[in-house]
Amino acid sequence: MSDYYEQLLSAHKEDLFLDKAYSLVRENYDDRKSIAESAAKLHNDNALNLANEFLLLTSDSGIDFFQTRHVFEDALPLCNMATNEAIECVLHLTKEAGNDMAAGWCIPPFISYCTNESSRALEAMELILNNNAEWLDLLSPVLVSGSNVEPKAFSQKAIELTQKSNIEIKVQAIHALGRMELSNESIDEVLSALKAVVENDYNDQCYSEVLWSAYSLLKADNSQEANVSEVINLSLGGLGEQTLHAASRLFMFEKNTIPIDILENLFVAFKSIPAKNTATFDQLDHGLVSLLDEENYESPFKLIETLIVSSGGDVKVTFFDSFARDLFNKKDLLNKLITRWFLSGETWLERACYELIKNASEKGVELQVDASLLTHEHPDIHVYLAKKACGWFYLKPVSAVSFIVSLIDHAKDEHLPFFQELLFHPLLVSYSGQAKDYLTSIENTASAKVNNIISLSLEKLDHYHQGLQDAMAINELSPSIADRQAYQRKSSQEMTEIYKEANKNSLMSQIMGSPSVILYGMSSIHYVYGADDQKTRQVVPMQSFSTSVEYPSLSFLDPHGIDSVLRAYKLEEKCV
Amino acid sequence: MKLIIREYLASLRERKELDALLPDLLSQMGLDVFSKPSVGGRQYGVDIAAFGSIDGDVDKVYLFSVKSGDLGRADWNGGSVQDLKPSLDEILDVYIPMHLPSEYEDKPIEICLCFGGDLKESVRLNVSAYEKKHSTESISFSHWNGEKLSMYIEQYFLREELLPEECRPLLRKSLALLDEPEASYAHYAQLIKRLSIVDIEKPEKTLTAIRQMYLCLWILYSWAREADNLECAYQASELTLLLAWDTAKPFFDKKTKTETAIKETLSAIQLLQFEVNCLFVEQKILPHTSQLYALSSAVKPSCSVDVNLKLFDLLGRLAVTGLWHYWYLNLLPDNEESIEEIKNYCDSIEQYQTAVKQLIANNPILLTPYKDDQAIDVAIASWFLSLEDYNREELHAWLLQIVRATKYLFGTKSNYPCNLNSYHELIDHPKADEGYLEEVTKGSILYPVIAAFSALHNFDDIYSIVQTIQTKYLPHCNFQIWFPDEASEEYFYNNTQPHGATFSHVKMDQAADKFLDEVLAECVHSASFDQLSAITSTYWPVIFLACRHYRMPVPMHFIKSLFHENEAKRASLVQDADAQEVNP
Repeated sequence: MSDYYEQLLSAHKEDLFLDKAYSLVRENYDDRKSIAESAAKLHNDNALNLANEFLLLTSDSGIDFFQTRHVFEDALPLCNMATNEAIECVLHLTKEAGNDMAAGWCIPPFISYCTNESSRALEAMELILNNNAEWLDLLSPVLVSGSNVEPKAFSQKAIELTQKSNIEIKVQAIHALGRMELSNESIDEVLSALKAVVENDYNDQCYSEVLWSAYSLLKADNSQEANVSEVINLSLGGLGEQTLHAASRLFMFEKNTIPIDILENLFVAFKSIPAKNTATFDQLDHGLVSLLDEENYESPFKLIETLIVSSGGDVKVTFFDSFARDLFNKKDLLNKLITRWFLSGETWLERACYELIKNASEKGVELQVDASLLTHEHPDIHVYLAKKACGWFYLKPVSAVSFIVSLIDHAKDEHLPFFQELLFHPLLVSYSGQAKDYLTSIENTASAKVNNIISLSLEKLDHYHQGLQDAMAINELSPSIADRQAYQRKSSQEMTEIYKEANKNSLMSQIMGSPSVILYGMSSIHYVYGADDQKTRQVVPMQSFSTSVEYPSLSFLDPHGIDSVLRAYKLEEKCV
Repeated sequence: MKLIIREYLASLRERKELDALLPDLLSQMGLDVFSKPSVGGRQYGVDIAAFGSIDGDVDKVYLFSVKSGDLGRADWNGGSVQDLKPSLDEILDVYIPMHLPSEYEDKPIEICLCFGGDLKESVRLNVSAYEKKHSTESISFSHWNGEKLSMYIEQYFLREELLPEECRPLLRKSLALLDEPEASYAHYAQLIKRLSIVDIEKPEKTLTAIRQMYLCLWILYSWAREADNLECAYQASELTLLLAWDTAKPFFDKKTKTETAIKETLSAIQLLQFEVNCLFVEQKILPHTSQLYALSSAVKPSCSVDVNLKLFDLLGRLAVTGLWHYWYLNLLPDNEESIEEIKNYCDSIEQYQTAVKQLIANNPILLTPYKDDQAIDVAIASWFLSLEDYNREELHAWLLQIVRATKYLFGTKSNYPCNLNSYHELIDHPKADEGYLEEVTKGSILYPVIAAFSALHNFDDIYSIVQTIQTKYLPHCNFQIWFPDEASEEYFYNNTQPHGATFSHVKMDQAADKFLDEVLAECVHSASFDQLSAITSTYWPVIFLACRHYRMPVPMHFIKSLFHENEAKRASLVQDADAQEVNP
């Protein structure tokens, strides 16, 4: 320790304190506590002023900012530093850290610093309230640290501050109340204070803090569920964006422990999240993950449905990508959701069905109707659902065909010719690869009724293909070479644009930077340099990869006809 | 060049091909052709008979018996009445003693064994023995094989001073590029245009030019047939007929020998053009019209524009070929002898009309014209279908779907009909740019055409949608109708200059019958139509052909003729009804 002490002192004398502190931490990382103790001792010995030294630390000092700041963080609780200097230095180091996740790591040492000396918290509070508005950021830690020493006094102080007109002060005080370790008696008072806040003037920021603090109190004393629920309910009533964000965050972290009453209130409030607040939806999405099971699907389904419909489609099902991934692992629930949304008669939900499956795989996922939802429906509902599947899943042939085929066993006999025709045109005509492969693959496992329809459809497809094959040899109908080249040029330009655009957001580009282009050969040679200029030759073989897409043939042969038919299917109203 | 001609000769079939070429060749060589092939078959073994001198030899009677391709054992005496030996026997036993015109009875006779290919070794001895046995002082034999015919064709049809040196490479290039029809046709069009530039003061030169056109078309057609790609030949046949018409029309009213020969050659070109059309349509298209998407798919498209352009083109071709059949039908006299032929033509017309309807039903791209000038194909097909009442329902359904689809395309801002013509622009159409729609829909002949047929047939629903399209989507668009004028006769067939007059800013806000009255009144004002040589000489399908080939609007006068026919039918029905009332 004495060695660190001497080295730091010596460096201080040469105005190189921060450099030395950094080099010591870097070289003796496991012993950084000792380095901090030496620094604190130097301060306490009046050999230097640690606050002054660290006020010189900036994010562009040329040394590692966070490693160097660790010395201050570890030393602060041990220092006999003037409170105002401590506040100033903590705020400086927090501000310099910018938006880094570790920016606030100076706050816990500051709380410890205030806790270590009973007068510090009070002094700090006075300084903050009477000084620069920028210092208000430390009001909450100061109140929390004060409550560690004198819980009653500081909780009262915080309650008083919640009644101030200054919003920043109110917010800091409410924040602190949620983080104090309070007695049951105090909790009653605090809840009353929080209730008073939400009953008086509306402020979204205050409401969001009230929500979190109230829930923290419930964790401390679960007998307060009714009161907490009331306060949370009141805060959610404002439907402020910050409150909803806080609520979604609470849901994300606490979904498994939130009492059902509060959870229901949260779900009601979530329906009001504006579509633009994607960060709030991200939190909600993470909260919904794993909440889903065979018995517990109604609320999440209902919530997402309401959000999509009430936003007029601005809220997309793609906002819930983690939820969707979870759903794909629970096929029965996916089938239930698709069936339910098609049956809803809501165009936004039907569109959401397609958005849900569109990125799942190139040809689409295999789907089945949830027949339990059809019990009370119109006898012609199977035809309606088949049209919906065809209209919305046309670009995902396996999804469309599998869903339609799953309806056949439940459909009336008089509707079977419709199913056969629908499978043939437009699906098999458009996708004679994927759709046909799927139908062929299930031929042996399907029921006799389904098999019959599949056989008839495939037979018709064979006849259709024979007709195409017979006409294929008409040389006179081929477009001219000039036209072919014109189209290839256009296509090539479009592909280049798409490739460039895709590269911009490519993970590979982000990790590897700009790609190097190898003009010839199938492997690349490079050298790795080690110690003493030792170089190692490495040959990296390259891999070729390819992908193919089945483009629906009707897009060439009858683009407007198919567009019109699909549009009609999508917009068809439900039979009642 | 000789090789090209030999190849061409070897591919010719006997009936209507090799024996159709020979009379023209002999005439061009200066011989007097006094017997030509007749439909019923050869006359006592003789396909063609001519009199005169070849290459300064003494005047002789030349009797030709024609076979296609190589002459082998089977063609010499294989047991068929069409074989060469029985034909020669007939010439010797019947034709020369009994049928030779009296003025040639004392002239030396040369019996010419004519075949497009070569004499095969397997039969050479038999032929020689036969000739030796039957040769006399006044009767001799000669072989007109591919080699000899090529020599004469080159010498008399394609003489250096008549088929300029720069024309020969054009024909060669055209033949070499048959698999790239666009390039092939470009060379052929240059060739035919050069040949069509002749001094009309010299009928002999016109006759030679028009015969050269005929021969060039034949050569191209025979090669195209071999290459199994008639695309260039199809377009070439249309252009050849149009330019030949343009070249020959000054001689229509004259009756000298040369001018008659010009008309005969023009007629031969028209027949050949009809044959090319029929072969293309009947062999390549008709077998597939009943198959869903078969022809659309056969385009092997890169995008829907490929299908659209090709299918509308096909529709026009199919309808024009059908119209030629209708024209032939109307040439036939209404008597007992023609009953069989009339029935055949009626069947053909019905077959073509069914094919047009099937083509539309099985290739729905024909419901959405991408280019405004596809109005031409729509007009030809509509006119063709309008010839029979039983097509009315399908015609109504088709035009209704076109206007509905067009309205839908405007509504969804998707491939609505536009004035763009180049392919690279069409594949980028439509663009979302401001003012783009107005830019590419400045004028239209499509909607007035559809409106006219709707008004003619009382398709009020269609007419009403056209009105909606104009008011809702195209208030800026100049709806227009084209009429021929005095200059049209000069340029309709050669397309070297714009011609005609356009009735501009046609308003659709009036009732359909008023609109039709206005159109018909304008037809009366535009009397130049009736002066067109194709109309005065009753070859009216040539006008449809010119419209299709040069992408000119179909004159509304044709609709006028349908209107008068309808009126006549109505009057007849009223008369019948009145008669029934009087005599129930």
